[in-house]
Amino acid sequence: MNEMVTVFVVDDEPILHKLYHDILERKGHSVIASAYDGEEAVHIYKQMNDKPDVILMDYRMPQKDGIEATKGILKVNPKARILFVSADESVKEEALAAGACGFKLKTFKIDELIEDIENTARQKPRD
Amino acid sequence: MKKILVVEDESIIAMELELHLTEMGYEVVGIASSGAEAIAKARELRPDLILMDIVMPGEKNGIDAATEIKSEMDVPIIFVTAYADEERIKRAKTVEPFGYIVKPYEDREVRATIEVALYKKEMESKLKEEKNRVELLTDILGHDIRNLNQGILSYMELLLTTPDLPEKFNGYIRTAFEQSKGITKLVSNVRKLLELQKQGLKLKNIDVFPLFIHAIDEVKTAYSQKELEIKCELSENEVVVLGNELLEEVFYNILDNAVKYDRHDTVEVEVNSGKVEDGKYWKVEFKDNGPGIPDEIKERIFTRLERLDKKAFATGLGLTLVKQIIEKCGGKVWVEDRIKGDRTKGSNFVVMLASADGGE
Repeated sequence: MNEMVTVFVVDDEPILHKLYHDILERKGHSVIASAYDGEEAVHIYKQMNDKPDVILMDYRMPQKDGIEATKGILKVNPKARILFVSADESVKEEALAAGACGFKLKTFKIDELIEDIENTARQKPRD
Repeated sequence: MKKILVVEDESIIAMELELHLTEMGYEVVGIASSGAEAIAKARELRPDLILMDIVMPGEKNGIDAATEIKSEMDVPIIFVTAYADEERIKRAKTVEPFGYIVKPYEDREVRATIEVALYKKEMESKLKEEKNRVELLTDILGHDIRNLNQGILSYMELLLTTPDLPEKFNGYIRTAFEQSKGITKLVSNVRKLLELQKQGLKLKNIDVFPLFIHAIDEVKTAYSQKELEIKCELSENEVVVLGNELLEEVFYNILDNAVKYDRHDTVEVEVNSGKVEDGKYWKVEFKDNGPGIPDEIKERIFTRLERLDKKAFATGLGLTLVKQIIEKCGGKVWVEDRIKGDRTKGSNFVVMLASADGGE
């Protein structure tokens, strides 16, 4: 049995928040925070006492996009593990260059995403 | 009033031109007498049009100046010169000028050329704007469809894991799931087609074997209700061709069609390969046992885009993408009957790709 992973979901689509919640809980993982914009994501992340194991990051959001939010969060905590989950194929390289640990293209299969989240959580913290 | 920059090293001609242009209703915002000055003034004054002499003193002639200006801003340039020799016109053409006036000229000739250039420029801008709008809409469409489809696919997946789900429902949901995945595939194909058109392909020597194996895996996962049996003697580092990773899309789409249209539960595809044309090409054949393709549409299934064909022979643009990728690799693709003269026995998709060693 895998250890429980705590997840912070950043996406502007409410239905996807519900989806992430539903599929993660089934596997015994937990969504501990949600943000609907990059700006909000950085703000919430700063305030969190218990930082999440993994952050799921969308790209296209109303104010601050996922790349900017990734940079913002890594500035607060350079060891934060961010997994990009985006419908934008074209931003993969930019996301990884900005410091994301991985990139998952929508549409994904549930098991693939869970596996990526668990792998990201298991990665050693960066130095 | 349209702003014109006059580039002319002979001051009397320049002044005369200024006078006439002003009479015609244009505003001459500046006069430059060398290539370097033309560049500086174009940057500073942002004219709507430039009348450019070609032969001028200094390091840069009119063609050099035009090249530099065009790389920085989108302004129509008309060359005005006493020379109309073949070589010079050929060089001038590389800058894509909006006109070429040969001295001595008449005022009405200058006016007509300027008016046509301004009109063409306006149309060009409108076209570019429209193209950007279409590209943006296509991009949003693709992005949002992926997002919407994510919800549909994942909740169907959750449904499939419901305990005691009747077998019949399981089948229904799987079919819906596969259709939904087809939507994502379509979106991805459209995106790839647009990118191919815009940027082309970077070619290199590539072993098709790993791409082929990966494509088989992808098709197998996509059709969980069917068995796919590939008869193939391809091995690693054998078929090395001039191409790109996108060749995986070629294999995927051909196999995907074979599985999709074959009504048997077990789909058999035979894959043969061999060098042809003195070793210049690798010929790879994919023989299926599907319903076959009528002669009348054997060519058209690949050419929807070229013919702007709305009539569908198959959904998804897969074979359109196949043809575009292969042609960008310098290869060829076509379909023939697996058994000559009897198309009901299935199809043979033939792919020709340039071999990496160029043949010997």
